Amino acid sequence: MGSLVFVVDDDASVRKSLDRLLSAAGYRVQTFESARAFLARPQLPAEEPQCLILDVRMPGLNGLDLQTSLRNTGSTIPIVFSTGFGDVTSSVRAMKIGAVDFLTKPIDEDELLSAVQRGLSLDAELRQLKSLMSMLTGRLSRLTPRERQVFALVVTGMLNKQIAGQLGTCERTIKVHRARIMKKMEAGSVAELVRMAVKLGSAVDGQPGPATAAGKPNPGRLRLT
Amino acid sequence: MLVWTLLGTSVQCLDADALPGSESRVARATVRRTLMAITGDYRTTLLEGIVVTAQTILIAGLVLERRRRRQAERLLEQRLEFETLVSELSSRLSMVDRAERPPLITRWLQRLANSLDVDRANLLPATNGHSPSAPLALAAATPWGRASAYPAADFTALTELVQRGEVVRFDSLEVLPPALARDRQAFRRHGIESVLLVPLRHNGAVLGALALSAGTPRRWSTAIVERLEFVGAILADALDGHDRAGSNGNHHPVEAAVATVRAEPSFARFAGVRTLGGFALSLAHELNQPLSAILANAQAARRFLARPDPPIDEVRAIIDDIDADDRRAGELIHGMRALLNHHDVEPVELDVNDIIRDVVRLLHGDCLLRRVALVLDLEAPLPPIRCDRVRIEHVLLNLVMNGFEAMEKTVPGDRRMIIRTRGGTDGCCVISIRDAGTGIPHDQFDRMFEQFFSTKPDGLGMGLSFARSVVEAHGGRIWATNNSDAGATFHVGLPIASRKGAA
Repeated sequence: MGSLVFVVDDDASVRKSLDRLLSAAGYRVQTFESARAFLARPQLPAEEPQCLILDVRMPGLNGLDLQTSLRNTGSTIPIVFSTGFGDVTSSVRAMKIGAVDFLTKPIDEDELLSAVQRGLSLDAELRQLKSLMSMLTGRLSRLTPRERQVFALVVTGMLNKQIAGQLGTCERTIKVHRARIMKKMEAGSVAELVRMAVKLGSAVDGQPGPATAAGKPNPGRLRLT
Repeated sequence: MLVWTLLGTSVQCLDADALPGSESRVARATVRRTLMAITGDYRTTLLEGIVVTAQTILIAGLVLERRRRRQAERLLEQRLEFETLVSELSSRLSMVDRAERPPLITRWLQRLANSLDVDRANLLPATNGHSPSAPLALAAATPWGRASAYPAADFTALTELVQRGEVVRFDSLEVLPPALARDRQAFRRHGIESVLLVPLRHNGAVLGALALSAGTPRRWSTAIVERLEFVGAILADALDGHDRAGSNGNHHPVEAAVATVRAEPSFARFAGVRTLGGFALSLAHELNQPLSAILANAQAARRFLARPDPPIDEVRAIIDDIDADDRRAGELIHGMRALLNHHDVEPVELDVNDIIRDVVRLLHGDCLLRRVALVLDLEAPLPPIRCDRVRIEHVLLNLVMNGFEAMEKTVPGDRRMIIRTRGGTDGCCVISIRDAGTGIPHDQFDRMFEQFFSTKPDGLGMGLSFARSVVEAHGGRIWATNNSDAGATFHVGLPIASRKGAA
């Protein structure tokens, strides 16, 4: 079985009925009666995409609190909110922090399933992006500090001669560096290298090079939007 | 002690010198011994003195150090609290809608007031436009959402100062110069003793002021002034943006904010909950839960049935759940209807015992399921009461079901409920429903009949408040007591129908 959908709702009947509906639609479902129970769930490294259907109004930690807490702990799980009545302000707030959708109870089947589908594909995308990022940062970590410097300059479109001038070395050395960088980053062309650099963002410039002297370390460019 | 010893020594020395010959020698020896003894004493005393003093200094030092550290800790804590408050304000201001800002600011100001330990934190609007020459109306929304007008005419001198963009700070009314005598009187009238006013400046215009005030003299530290100026800058920025986004160019931003705060009196909301409107809202919300469960269940069933080999047991379970949720929704509506139709039913003369027998008939199945032994102790004959049968039945059902639920943790053999009727005392028939459950915690006696008060995780908190409103509408009384052994007893007293009413 494929994707996993979590349901957090304090109402037992709602939980059970959503469990059935989503199971009938072919998803694996896990239900929780409270935000705390969800946070306390045993977390296994999961391969398949996941998505969370979250009730806004719950005693104790409410849906929006859970959303904030998840985002603060770095979880990117897509969230579909469900609420008892059209609560505009909460929905605006939830959407701003990256909710997939905000559905009003009683929830229409098509709306629910399409929101869940969107959530799951978003999660799949995020997972792909995450693994790509970790792959790229892994390759990047193989570069020596000098190679990183050269890398940062190569992707700005500078010629070997210019880079050599900038770094105070000879063109031949830069040529060797460039070849090593291409090999270590597993890039087939400079264009590909540039694309990698874009994905990696400012993580590329390990040493503050003059072209990209912003120099702020930005560990992840992973965004939910 | 030390001084006395020294004096004694010198006196003895003088005496010894005055003595002649051998006598004087003996005397000198004696004096020397005495002196030595005395200096020994003196040394001990001195040593003791030094030790005591050192100890005192050490202790004082430690106490001071501890106090200093505590004070530093407190300051740091206050600072952290303030930083948290400010970051919260600025992040939330940027996130919420325009309409939501005034209540957000009001709530936030209240927290600021609490955090800085002042009586009030207000946002004061300038009355017209951004023009710095416009008089600043000290029409303030207090943190409690109640508006209290501080007419600008009372505070002319101060108003002028703030308009010019100056920070106004006085620790007590006494320090106000004679030029501000009028303002002083006005402050005294409003019960304000010390004030800190920081102008809200944006693009060179004064939009209004942020004020902290206390009813007692108080020193405004530079730290507080700086913090308030910081907050002022954030608010001025937000309110200016707020104004530009708004369609009404005539309204001053701060004024608009205050006006909206006024339009939302927080106490009225609480009062509203006590009305039927509150019930309706709660009902609408609570109905949503069974309704969404029913819908999702029905949709699931449709999907299951579309499979080539439909799981019939699952579908059967779904239908049972739909049934149960539908009943749950029905009960809610029924309770609501009973409450709303106050004038629809003509009360009739009835025997309380008859009503109870009806209720018990309805509960027969529940008693079996829950393994509760139901005992009736009905006094007969009872004088008739005038009541709306359905509603009183509903109240009794509610109370009995409450009792059943309270006995869920009781050992089945001990689940015993006694329904008793007694007539005649002070013109009332009293129905008592006694359970053997968990009893009522003492702190809940006052609140248990309030709307939305519930100890059950899925309780609406409507049962007992509904019961009370029905019983009181009949001119009766409802109360509860804890039993001496186990559980609680709910009592309903209903007035006996007068002979005139029967005619």
